[in-house]
Parts: sequence; structure tokens; C-alpha cells
Amino acid sequence: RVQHEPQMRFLLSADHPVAVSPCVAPPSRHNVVRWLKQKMASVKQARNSLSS
Amino acid sequence: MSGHSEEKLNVDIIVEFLEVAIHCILYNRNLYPQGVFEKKIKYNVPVQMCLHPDVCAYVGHIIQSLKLLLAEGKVEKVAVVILQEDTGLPVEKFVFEVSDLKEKWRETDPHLFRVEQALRGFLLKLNVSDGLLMTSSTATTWTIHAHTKDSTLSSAEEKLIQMDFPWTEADEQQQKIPNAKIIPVKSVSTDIFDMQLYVEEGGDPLS
Repeated sequence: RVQHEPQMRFLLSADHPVAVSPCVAPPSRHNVVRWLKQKMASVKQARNSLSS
Repeated sequence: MSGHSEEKLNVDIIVEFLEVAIHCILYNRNLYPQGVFEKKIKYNVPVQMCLHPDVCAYVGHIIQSLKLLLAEGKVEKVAVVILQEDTGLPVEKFVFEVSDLKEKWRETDPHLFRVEQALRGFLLKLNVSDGLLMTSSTATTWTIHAHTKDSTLSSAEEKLIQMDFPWTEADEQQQKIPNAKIIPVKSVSTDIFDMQLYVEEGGDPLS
């Protein structure tokens, strides 16, 4: 029962505090900078095509 | 309104606020370039929210996970941890300490005016907390730590995996900043919850 019911396990042993964090890392600054550069370039291109 | 849906509303208010606060910290501490942020109004306060789709999705996943953990049990603290990119060691920690949820707001603050005012004050203070801290470096990354109980994680674990956003015990070396200085930023007491924010800052300058 202890194997299959986690709550039972926490009743028998202490329910310890734990700090948890996501396994997946956040987007890197490098990728975000690259995305920004591409976006700025596409905005500039759109502006140029509008003005010409 | 039933007790269950009231509790859900309380959780929604907390996590919605945390979402805005995380974006503000990412902007204020220079985790991403300022060009990817856009000024928006939240709680009648101008705040900077990130526009990058992956960053928004990542923060969204964190918020959904926190909602799940709060629904399954208790989350005592949520910390935005800023890490040195090369070593992975923590240099700064923005810690949100949330009290037990209260139930009395229906009688005392039914339109949540006072809650909104308190959160507004919190955001204003968060936006100027930069001045209290050392200069931020660009060679940093970040993570989130949720301080909960074994049983809460165990109950939520399966759903978190189904969400494709699993959580695990945080690295021990990321949990403690040696010789950290604690800087209190703001504490509020509302009819839904009490919350305080403090920053743990490492002794060495970031830049």
C-alpha cells in the first residue's frame, strides 16, 4: 500500500519541504537577441518597400 | 460562490500577478534585451512584458505549473533565481513569500479594489527595486524555484509531465547564495493573501 499510495508514505514519514524548478531551461538570451535582429530587419524591409 | 471556486479565484489572482512580476524582473534585471519588451498596463501600472513567443510560452508554462501546485497543496515561496551563465551559480533571488489563502474577502472587499490597490503598490515598488540592487550583468540566465512539500509535488507530478513541463528538485548549489544580503522590497496584506517580496543578493558585484 505504501508503494502505491504516496499519501500513505507521507503520513508514515515526514512530508518534507522541497524546492522544485522546471526541468526545461528558459529561452537563451542568444536566441532572443537573434529573433530581435530578424524582427528589426523585417520591419526595416517592410518600411523600405512601403516608401519605394 | 462555492468554496472551491473561491479558492480557484484566489489562486488565479496570485498567479496572474506572479506572471506580470516575472516579466518585470526579466526586464529590470536585463535578462533579455530591452527591445523585446513592450509597455503594457496592468493593475493601472505601466509594466514591461516580453514579446518573444518562446519566453511568453515559458512563463505561461511556469504559471500553469504554479496553478497546479497551488491547487494540489501549498506553495510557500516562489523565487525568480538569477544565475551566472557560465557557472550556473545563483547571484540574485527575488523571493515572493505567499501566506495561506484567506476566505474573508467576499465580505470585506467583494470588488477586490483593495487587492488591486495592493498589487499596484507591489508592482510600483518592484519596478524601482533596481535602485536597491547592484548593476545587472548580461551574462546571466534564470530559473524559478517553487518551495512546496514532497506530497504536493507528488500529487502534481503526473499532470506536470502530461503538460510536457516537468519539475524536479532544484539543484542544491542553486538554492543558497553564499553571504547573501537580504533586501526587503515590499510586503502587503490583503483580504485574499499576505505576500512579501525580498531580494537575496550575493556579495560579489555582478559586473
